[in-house]
Amino acid sequence: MSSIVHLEEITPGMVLAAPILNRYGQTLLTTGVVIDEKHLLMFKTWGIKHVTIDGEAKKSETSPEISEDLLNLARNHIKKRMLWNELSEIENDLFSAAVERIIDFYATNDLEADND
Amino acid sequence: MINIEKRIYDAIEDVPTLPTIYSVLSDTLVSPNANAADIAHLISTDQSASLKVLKVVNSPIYHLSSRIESISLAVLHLGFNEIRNIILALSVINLFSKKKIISSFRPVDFWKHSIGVGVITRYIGNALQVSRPENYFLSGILHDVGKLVLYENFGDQYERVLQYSEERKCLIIEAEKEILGIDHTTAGAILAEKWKLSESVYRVIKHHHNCSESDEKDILLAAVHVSNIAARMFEFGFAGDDFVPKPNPAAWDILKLPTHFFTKSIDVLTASYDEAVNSVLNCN
Repeated sequence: MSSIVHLEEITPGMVLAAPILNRYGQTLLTTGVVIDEKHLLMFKTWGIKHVTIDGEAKKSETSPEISEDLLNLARNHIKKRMLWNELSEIENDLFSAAVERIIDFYATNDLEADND
Repeated sequence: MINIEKRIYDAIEDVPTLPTIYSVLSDTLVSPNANAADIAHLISTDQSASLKVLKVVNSPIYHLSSRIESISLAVLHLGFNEIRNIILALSVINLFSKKKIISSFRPVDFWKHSIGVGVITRYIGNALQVSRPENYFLSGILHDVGKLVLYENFGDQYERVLQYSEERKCLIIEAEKEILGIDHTTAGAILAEKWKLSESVYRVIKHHHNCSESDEKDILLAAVHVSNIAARMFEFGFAGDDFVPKPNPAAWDILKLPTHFFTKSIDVLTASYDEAVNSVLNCN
């Protein structure tokens, strides 16, 4: 499978899963090219923001640790709004994605007030 | 048609017709002589529409590896129908934005929800590599258009609908049926008929809530159904009530999304949603 990766998260060694075209529709780099430092510079010059690479994109190593408390606040915030309890596998995945989003979206204060 | 539906049908006569650019574009597109350059030229004459279209197509949900700088290229990469549909979506938003506002309706948040559903639906269509993706963004944006029809036609009573939904802690669709005797899926379907929108968009507007009429092939309807639920869970805008309804399991069966689909996509979805809201609504 392939995933879309933002310019800032591209690292050398990633393999292109789709060709990169210029503004005239001409192919600049073909599928299968292994990205190196030179290519990264070219992407910036061409104004390319996203590329499709093979495999799963790793999440940034530098993202901060999220406390268990904050995770639970977010989980409860969402559960209160849900009209059902038994979640299937894909629904659990949706729920986990929502927890991430809610943590980003709300300041901690708002989540705490919500739990009164 | 029962009385209330007839009242809505007749009332829509009063809604101004779709902006000129959309009708001219539609006519041009069905002409056998239409070519990409003509279409591009036509769209480019509307500066603000062009800018918004370009912002939308450069969003990650369209999965294009390089930046699109002109309408001609946008038409080349995504096809006439997709570009026309983006313009229709923008036109509808623009049209309804000029109407009066009742205090609790929150039109900006309504559009944010609709844009959120449009973004997620298009992303799913992309991920599943559907053969006809051009209705995905549009269907997502228009799925709740019936709420605007009701709000236009029932004014203050729609305020009562919103209050009822909050007091009784029920979904907006239940409150609409209780207070008005008609819900937004029916009202929206009437508008879709009046405006001669495509069959697939009509079906989405009418059935997105339960997704009960879908069959094996109705990927678009299943996609909008789950995207509506996802947008509510992610709190992309406000849908009229503060709940996340249970998805119809049949929709998941039709889509067959890979495991971890949402956790892997949430960053791109949020970024695309933020970008789309900024370009389309010119606000945060």
